Amino acid sequence: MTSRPVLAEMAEARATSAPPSPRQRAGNRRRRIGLFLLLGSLVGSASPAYRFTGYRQLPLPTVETAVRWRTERWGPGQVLQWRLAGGSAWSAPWTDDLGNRQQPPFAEIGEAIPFVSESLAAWSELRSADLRWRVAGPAAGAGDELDGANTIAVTDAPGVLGWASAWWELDETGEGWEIVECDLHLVPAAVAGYSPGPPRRMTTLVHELGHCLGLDHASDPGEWAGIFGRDAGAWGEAPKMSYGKPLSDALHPDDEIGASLLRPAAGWMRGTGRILGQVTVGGEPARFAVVFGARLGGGEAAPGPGAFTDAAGRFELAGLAPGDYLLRAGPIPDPGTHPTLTPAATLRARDSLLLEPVTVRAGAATAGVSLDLPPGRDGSGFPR
Amino acid sequence: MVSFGAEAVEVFEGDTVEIPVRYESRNLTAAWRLRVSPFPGTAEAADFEIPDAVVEIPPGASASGEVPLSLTGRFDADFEEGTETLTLRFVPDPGVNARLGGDLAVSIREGGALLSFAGEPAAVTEGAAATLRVRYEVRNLPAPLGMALSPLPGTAGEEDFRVERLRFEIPAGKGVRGEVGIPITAPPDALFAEPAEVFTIRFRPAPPDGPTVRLGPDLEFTVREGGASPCPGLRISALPPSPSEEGGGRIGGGHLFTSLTLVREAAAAGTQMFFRSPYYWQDELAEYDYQPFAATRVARWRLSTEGGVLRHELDLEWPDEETLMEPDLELGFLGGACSGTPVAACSAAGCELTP
Repeated sequence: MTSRPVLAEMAEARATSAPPSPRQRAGNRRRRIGLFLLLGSLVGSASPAYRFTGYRQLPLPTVETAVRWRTERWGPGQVLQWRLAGGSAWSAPWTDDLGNRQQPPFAEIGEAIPFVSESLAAWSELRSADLRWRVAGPAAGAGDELDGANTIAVTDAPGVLGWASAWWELDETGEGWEIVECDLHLVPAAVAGYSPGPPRRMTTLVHELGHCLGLDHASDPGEWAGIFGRDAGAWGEAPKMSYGKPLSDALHPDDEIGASLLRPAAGWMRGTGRILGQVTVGGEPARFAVVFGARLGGGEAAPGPGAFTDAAGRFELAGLAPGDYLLRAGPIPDPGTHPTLTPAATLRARDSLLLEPVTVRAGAATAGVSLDLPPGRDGSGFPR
Repeated sequence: MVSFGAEAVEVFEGDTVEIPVRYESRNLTAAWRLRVSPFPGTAEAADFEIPDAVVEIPPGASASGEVPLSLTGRFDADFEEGTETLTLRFVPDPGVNARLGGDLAVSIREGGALLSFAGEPAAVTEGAAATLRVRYEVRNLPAPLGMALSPLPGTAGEEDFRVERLRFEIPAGKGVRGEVGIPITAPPDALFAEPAEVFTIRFRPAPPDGPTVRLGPDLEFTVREGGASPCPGLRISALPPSPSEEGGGRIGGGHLFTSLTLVREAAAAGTQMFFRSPYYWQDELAEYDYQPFAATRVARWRLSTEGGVLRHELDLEWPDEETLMEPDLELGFLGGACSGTPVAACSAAGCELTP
């Protein structure tokens, strides 16, 4: 059986201008191989898009076709083990972007374990998801090898805060892929920038763990990526899986629902519903636009999940708690955060709100929702 | 024998009462002419009129009967004087050999009518109608009385309101109270962030020869902003973008804020609102930008429903200092019952709808 590592790198390091490392280039090349095989498995799929790992390949993976963990490696109810790799790097001095020598983040690797545990807990505390994982202690070696051990290592690299190497293998049918291992890397700045807590979390680690679950970067209403370090009003603060800088350690509903769709807790899916629809631009499909659902609670829109449309403009917001939702749609507002989608995406369209709450019922799909985005998106300030 | 046919009579201002004067006579060879004299009490001479204060007893061998004496209560401008009194008395005449009866007490009750505006709510919303209520108290009106209103433009111009009926009628009667409803409408306009405007309604005085009517004070009527209707079944109202009360605390350096209200009736189902502008290039992210960001963000989005009508309330902010270079907001509408894509534009100067 062939193993393919798939790279999901760059946590909040959107400002990087560094060229891809040899590792990144290799990852991208290997990913294209995966893309070819994944493509074959999705031909004929009518399901709209979500934003799971692999969205950098087209068509987008869906709730049904998302790459998940191989059951033998991390089955329902099982606990996934993590080990801290890289040994002395956790307790070594490091140099920041300004060239200043910094003190080691930890005196020894064991001090990092509570922080890693509480970062893991950001996900495993979700009641809606079957996410059980723990730190089993240090591992020998540097990690990043397909050796059966899921590792978290401290590795210095320019222009990034961390990356995740998720190892895929073909499933029994030979048509789909499954995650069999994940190795994470955090740069020293991401390790040193932990929250003293409680909870004692490393934001970058929480983000990269999302990649290991099978989540890719969140779709973005614009506010998250465009407004660093601020909440985004009706859409809440930035999800851990976005390029925004979260203001708190809490997961965003977008994170929670994405993870829960990949590894749902028993019975959770039955209590949720879906919204299906299409986004167009001037009547033509809006390719890889973003749709956000804001759940109405107490008469006010509260943060909810987002999803990309597929090449036909269709979208699916799944895993929704029953209730009424207000929808917003627009093109990818910050294409730099979704570079693979951008060349094929419909840009230059205007953001739109549907003045019609969409009702979601448990176990049901509300279909036929449509939004048409007027073309054009002229901006000022930095035209090109 | 000559006497009044009653001990007391009552008359309203504006009314005439026929006072019977009874007589019994024998062997009158010529008519007796007997004068009646008024003795004012609280009533003054101007309050009443006796056109002919002389009663004439016809001649004859033996007769008895009644002759009328008319007394009219006159309207005056005083509506608070209450009932006034006077006394009528026969004036002895040496040429008339008759025994004269006692005095007659006359009460003159207030007459005319009182008009006033019934007060709150003295406001109409653009695109809607309100009723101006004229309250009347008829003390005595022998016949229906036609009245008129004068609308006086203030900050609200003539085009901002319409008094649907400038004339109305007060019914005849005595002791009648009631109200007359006058419809007032305020046509919608393309502006939807105007401050409240006012005009004045005034009673037009009745003709001087008519019954006396006391007119209440002018009424100030408010025309409230009712928003504009970009599409059938949809109304938008807004505040012009202005510096947020939060100042620069959270955002830094100050930012703009506006709030919108969208009222969506069933006829507008399926309507979308899009952000036509402003967008801007975020130059600090130049390397990654392939298109402009929205310069505003939805800070809050509230929705309430009443009787199938949705009421959206959106708070919009210009969150970045550099977005302040684009303070003008343009919101477009499409879908539903919209014809084309009307645009609602808001700037510090106000908000206006462009079809």
